[in-house]
Amino acid sequence: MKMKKILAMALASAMVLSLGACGSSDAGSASGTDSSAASDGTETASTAFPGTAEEDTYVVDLRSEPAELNSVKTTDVPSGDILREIMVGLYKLDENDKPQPDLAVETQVSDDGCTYTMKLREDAKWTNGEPVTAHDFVYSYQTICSKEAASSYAFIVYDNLVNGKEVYEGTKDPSELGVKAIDDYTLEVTFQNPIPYATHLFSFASYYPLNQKAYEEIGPDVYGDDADKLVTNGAYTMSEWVHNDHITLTKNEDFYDPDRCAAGTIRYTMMNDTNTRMNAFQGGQVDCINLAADQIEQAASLGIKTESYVDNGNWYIQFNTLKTDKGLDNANIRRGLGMAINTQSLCDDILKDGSVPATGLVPTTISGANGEKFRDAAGDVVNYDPEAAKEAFEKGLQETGLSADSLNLSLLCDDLTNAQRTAEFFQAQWKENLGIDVTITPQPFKSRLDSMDNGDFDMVFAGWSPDYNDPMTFLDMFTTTNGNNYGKYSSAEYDSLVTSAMSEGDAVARQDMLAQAEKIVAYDDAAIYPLYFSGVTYAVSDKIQNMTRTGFQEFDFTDAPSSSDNSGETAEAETEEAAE
Amino acid sequence: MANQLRYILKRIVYSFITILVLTSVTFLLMQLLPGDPFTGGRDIPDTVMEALRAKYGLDKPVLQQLVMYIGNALHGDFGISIPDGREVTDIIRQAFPVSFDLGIRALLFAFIMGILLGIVAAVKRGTAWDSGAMFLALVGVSVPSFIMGAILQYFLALKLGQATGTQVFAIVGWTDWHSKILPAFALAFGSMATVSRLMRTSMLDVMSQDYIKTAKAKGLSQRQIIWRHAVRNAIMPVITVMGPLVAAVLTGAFVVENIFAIPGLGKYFVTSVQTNNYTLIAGTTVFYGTFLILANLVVDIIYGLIDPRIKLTGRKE
Repeated sequence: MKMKKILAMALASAMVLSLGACGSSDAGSASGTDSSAASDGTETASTAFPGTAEEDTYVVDLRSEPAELNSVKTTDVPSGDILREIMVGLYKLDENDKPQPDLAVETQVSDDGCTYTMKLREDAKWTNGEPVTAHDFVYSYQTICSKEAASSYAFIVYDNLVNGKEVYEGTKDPSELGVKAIDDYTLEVTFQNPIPYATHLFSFASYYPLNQKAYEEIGPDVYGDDADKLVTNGAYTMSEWVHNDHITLTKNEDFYDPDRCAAGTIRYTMMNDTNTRMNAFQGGQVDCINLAADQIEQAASLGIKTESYVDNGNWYIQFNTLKTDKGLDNANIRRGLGMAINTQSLCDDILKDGSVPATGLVPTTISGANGEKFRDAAGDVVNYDPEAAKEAFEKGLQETGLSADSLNLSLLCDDLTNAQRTAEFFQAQWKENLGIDVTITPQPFKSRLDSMDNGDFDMVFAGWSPDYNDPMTFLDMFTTTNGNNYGKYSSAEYDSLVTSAMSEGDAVARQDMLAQAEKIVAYDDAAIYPLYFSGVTYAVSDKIQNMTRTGFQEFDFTDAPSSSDNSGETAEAETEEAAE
Repeated sequence: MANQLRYILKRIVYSFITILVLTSVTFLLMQLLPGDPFTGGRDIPDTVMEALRAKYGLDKPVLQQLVMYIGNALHGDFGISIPDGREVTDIIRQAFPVSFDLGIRALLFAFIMGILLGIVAAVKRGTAWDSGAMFLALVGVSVPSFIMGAILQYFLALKLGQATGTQVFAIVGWTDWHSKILPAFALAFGSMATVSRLMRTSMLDVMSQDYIKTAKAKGLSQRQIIWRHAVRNAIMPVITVMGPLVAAVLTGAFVVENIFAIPGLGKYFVTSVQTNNYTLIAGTTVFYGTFLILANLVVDIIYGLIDPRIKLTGRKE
C-alpha cells in the first residue's frame, strides 16, 4: 500500500512536470507554426505551387463576407470586388486603374466640363433578359439620392450631381436630378462642378445602373442578400453564395465581351485566420491569399511566388490641435513629432508588407493632371530628419513656454497587434530622437473612432483610403468644417485653396492649388503627419493569369486580353503615330 | 406525475422570464457600446446619418425600441442585420445548423471517449493505463481548442496530406466527413478531459461501495460488476455537467470555426459586437441564451427520469 502511494505521488509529480513541459511546448508550437514550417522550408523550397485542381477555375481568398451587394447601398471592399466582376458600368478601370469606356461607347463633354452625354452600347443585357438602357442609370441615381434607400454613400452621388442635395432632402423632385435619359441608349449626366475624375466615378459601384423591375420585384430591403436576389449585367454571374463560406462566379455567356473573363469560374473563399489561409494555400485549396507581415519571409523560404502593390492607403498621425496644454496647437511641435519617425525603418523592419515611406499626404498611385501622377508633380513634402525634428520641437517648446517633461503626450491607436507594434516603434523613436516619453492608448476600432469624434485624444495613428482617384479625396478632409477633421485644425489659407480647387476647370491650375494645400496641411502646419503608404503582399499559385490587383481594384478578373482589347491597342498606337 | 408536470411547467415559466430579462439587459447594454452601427473609417454627413437611423428605428427612445423589439421577437421577427440587410432569423437559420452539427459531434465524441477513458482509468487504477488516460485528460484541460485546432490542421491535414498525397482530413470547410473529424475533435478535446476525470472519480467512489463488494462476494464477473452496477451509478454526476458542457462547446465553437473556416453562427456572434450590429447582437444572444436555458431544462428533466432518487417536485422539502 505504501509502495503504491509513493508510486502515485511519483506519477503525479511526473504528470505535473510533463504538463509544464507540455504547456510550454504547445505554446511554442502554437505561436511557432510559422517557424516550424519555415525550418523545413529547405525541403519544400523546390516544391512548386501549381494551385487548385479544378480546371478553368480560380479560387481566391476574399478574407471576409461581402457586406452588401446592392450597388446602391454598398460601401465595403469585398462587395466592391464581387460587384466589379458581376456588374458593368459606364466606364471600367483597366489593369492600370485607368478608366476605359465600357457601356458608354461614345462620350461628349460640354465646354464647361459639367455635362457628360454618353451613347450606350445596345447589346448589353441584364440576367433577367431585359436590355441595359439609360433608364437604368436614371433609376439607380434617383434611388441612391433618396433617404428611403438608406445608402451610406448617398453623398458620393448627391454631392456631385446637379440638384443632388435638394433631391435627397426632398425639396426637389427626383426628376430634377442631374441625370436624364435622352433616349433608351443616350444618357446625360450633369455635375455641379467640372469633375476631373468623372470617368473614374462612372466606374465606381455607386454609379452602376439598376434594373427597376428586378429591384422592385425582389424588394429593396433584401436585394443583393443572396445569389437569387440579384440581377446583374456583367461578365460573370453569381451561381452560388454560401454565406461566410464561399461565392462562386461563372462566366456569363450572354455577356457582350465574354473574352475578358480570366477563367470560366472564380470562387472566393472567406477565411478569417491568417494561418488557416497559409495552410490552405500550401495544401492547394486556394490560389491567392493575402499574407500577414510575418508570413512573407515564410512564404519566401517555401518558394511561394509573392507579389505586392501599394493599396492607396495613407497612414498618418493626426494631432488634436485643441490640446494647447500639450503644445499641440504649435506647428513646430507637431512637425517635430512627425519628422522624428524613421519611416524607412518602419517599413523595412516593422511592417515588412510592401508598404513604402510616405512622401506626402496623397499616395503615389493617385492621378494628377495631364496623365501624370499627382505625387510626381507635387514632389516630396515630408521626410524623416531627426536633427530638423529636434530643432523644430525645441523651437516649438520655446514658443509655447512648455517643457518637454510636462507634455505627457499619449498616442491613440487600434488594439490590433500590428497597430500596437507600430505605435511602440513610434514611442521608441520619440524617446530616441526627441527624448520624450509618450504613452500608448490602444482601443478597438469603433472605440477609437468614438474617441476621435469626441476629441478625446492627443495624437491618433489613423489611416485613410481614397473614395476616388483624385488628390481631392485626401485633401478636402482637413478643411475647418469637414467631419473627418478630428484634430479641429483650421487654416483660412488651406480652406480657400481647397474650395477654389473644387470649382477650378483648368486641371494644371487645380493641381497647383492642391499641391500648395498639401504642403500647408502636412508640412508647414503639420496638422497631420503622413508616415507610410500601405502595401499588400499576396501569395499566388502558378495557375493564376490575368488577375488585376491594384489600389482601386483589390481583385479583378475581367482584364483578360480579348480581340476588342487588341484592336484598342492598335488604335492607340495609330493615334500616337499620328501625333508624332 | 402531476407534481412532475407542475414542476416542469414552473421551470418553463421561469425560463421564459429569464429570457425576457436577458433580452432587456442585452438590449440596454449594447447601446452603451462606443460608436454606433454606421460609424466607419469615414465621416458620414449628418443628413445621411439621420436617414440611416430612421430606417433602422434607432432614432426612437431606447425603451420604445426595446418594447418594439420584444413585441416583434415574440412574433419571430428579430429584425434585419444592419450592415448587410439580411434578416437575423435568416442568418440564424443558415448558420446555426452548421454550429449545431459541429457541437453535437463534439459532444458525442467528448462523452463517449471521456466516459471510456474514465472507466479504464478507474478500473486499471494505479497502472500505466490510468496515468496514460489521466495524462491525456490533463493535456485536454490545459490545451485550449484554438491551439489544438491549429496543431491538428497543420500536422494531420496539411502535412499528412502532403506526405501521403491523399487528403484524409480536409484543411478547411464543412462538407463531408473528411472535413468534420478534425474540427469536432479540436472542439471536443477539452470537454472529453473534463468528462473522463469526472467519470474516473465517480467510478472509484462507486467501486468502493458496499453493494459492489456484495456483488463481488456473490461471484459476479468483473465485466458484469462494472457494466451492470458500477457504470450505471457512476454516470449520474457526468450527466449533470452536460448542461454546462453544451454551453462550453457552443461558445467555444467560434475559435474552431475560425481556424477551419466553418460557416457557423459563432462568427456572427463575435463580429456583431465588434461592429455594433445591434439587431444581430440581440438576436444571437437571445438565441444562444434560449438554447442554453432549454438545454439545462432538458438535462434536469432527464436527470430526474434516470435517477429515481430525484423527485421532480416543485415543493420545498
